[in-house]
Amino acid sequence: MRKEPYPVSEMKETLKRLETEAARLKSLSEGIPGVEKNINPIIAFIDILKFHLDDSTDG
Amino acid sequence: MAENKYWNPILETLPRDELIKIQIGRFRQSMAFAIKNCPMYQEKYKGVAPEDIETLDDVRKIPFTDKEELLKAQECGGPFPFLYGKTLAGDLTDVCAMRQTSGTTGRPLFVPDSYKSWQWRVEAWTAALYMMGLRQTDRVFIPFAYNVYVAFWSSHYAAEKIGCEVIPGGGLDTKGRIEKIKEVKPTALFNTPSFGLHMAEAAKEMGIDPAKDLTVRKMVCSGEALSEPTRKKLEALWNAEVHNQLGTAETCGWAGTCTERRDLHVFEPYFLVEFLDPETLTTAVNPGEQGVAVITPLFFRTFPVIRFNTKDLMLLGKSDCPCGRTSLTVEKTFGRIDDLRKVRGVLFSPQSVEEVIRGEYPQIVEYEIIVTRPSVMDEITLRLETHSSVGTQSLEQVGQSLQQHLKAKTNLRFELQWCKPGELPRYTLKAKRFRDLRGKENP
Repeated sequence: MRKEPYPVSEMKETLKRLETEAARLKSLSEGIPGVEKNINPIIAFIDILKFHLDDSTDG
Repeated sequence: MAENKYWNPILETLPRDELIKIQIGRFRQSMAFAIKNCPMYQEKYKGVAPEDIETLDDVRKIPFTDKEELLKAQECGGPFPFLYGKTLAGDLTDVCAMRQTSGTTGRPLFVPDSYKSWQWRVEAWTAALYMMGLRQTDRVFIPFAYNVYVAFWSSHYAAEKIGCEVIPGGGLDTKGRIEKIKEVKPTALFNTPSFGLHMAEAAKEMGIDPAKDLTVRKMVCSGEALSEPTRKKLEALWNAEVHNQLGTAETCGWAGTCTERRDLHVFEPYFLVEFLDPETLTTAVNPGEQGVAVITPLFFRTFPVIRFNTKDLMLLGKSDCPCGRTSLTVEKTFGRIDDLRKVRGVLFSPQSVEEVIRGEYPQIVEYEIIVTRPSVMDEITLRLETHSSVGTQSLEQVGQSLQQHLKAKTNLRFELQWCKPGELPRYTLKAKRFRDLRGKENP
């Protein structure tokens, strides 16, 4: 109920897709440092976003 | 849309039972990660099953980590990377930055961060600064030479994340910093309380009144304990809202004031902070009681720290802040239990002297406490420096009044020693105003 003012479920779903795509991009970018290294910060921030959305699946 | 007063309205207003559930879940994950990846914790928590931790009572059964233990684990050398010894979790190639503690209480501790760990540190600080009222319309000046010490790095990046303009103020002397403040007109300063006082004093010597002639209206203090009298003094000197932040390099900043500027909010659930009975260190204290803060950052991975015993004694607040945050609060800090010394058989906290001086004696600009034992009795000397305008007659009156105040507050009699203007040291980072020379005068 407390999450009603914010579309948390939709944000979580979108984030999940983003996480999947980021992992895919990282895997595809092997050998291209400019892509591989720039995807790492995105992956770090996805972790923080998961925390903000009260998604305790982070390891 | 109206501006949200919370960095995260979901987490900052969570009912406590839900907050604790998240904290325990993340504590389990942090423990599991540390046991799997960090040689120090592999040895320390051998046989501990993180998956069995379900309540705060279960958490309290896990042995503490303290600073000495971390230092010892870094001294071991061996097959592990030299600087970090057995404290590093994971691979050295993940480390993107090394910073260290200030070494106030001994050899400094090296703190490695991966990119991800660093972003978590910054994130916790960002939530704190936002809570203090920092916004993208603020221009922040940090009058501090950043270097290997961790202090102010996280707050720099956190202010950037909010969208503030951040101006690093290293590489300048105090006068140069004041001139720069006058030139670039920042709305906020991040500094230690001691340096905030020193800059105000230096500005006045330059004919600049910080309250009227400068544009600083917010000040974030960290790196040293900030007593309420010092906070009020800084507010008057700078005509600014002065905020307090608690933290250690081992754990990151973990509590701070909101715009109400009452108690300090613990940054939950970035951290699991326990306040334990100072005698037993086994049971939690209630709001309104004094406890020792034990901290677990719930996002550290490269340098995991589980149940770090800060040895800092604090008064747990009643968590009824009008800001609406549901976190635990700290009403007052008393300094480190280690800093409480027995002088003439009386338990003495140097912080009590600061409270008297900063609260009652605006003419005293700097002080130093020295304890000696010339024969069998301890002697406690208070070296004092006043504004140059204070006359000899006034000094006598101030001295008598101060001695009475200190006697009432500490039950000790202080010998007073007046110093010339500028004789006592000034500090940019951690002030060292207490020297215990007992046993050192006659080796």
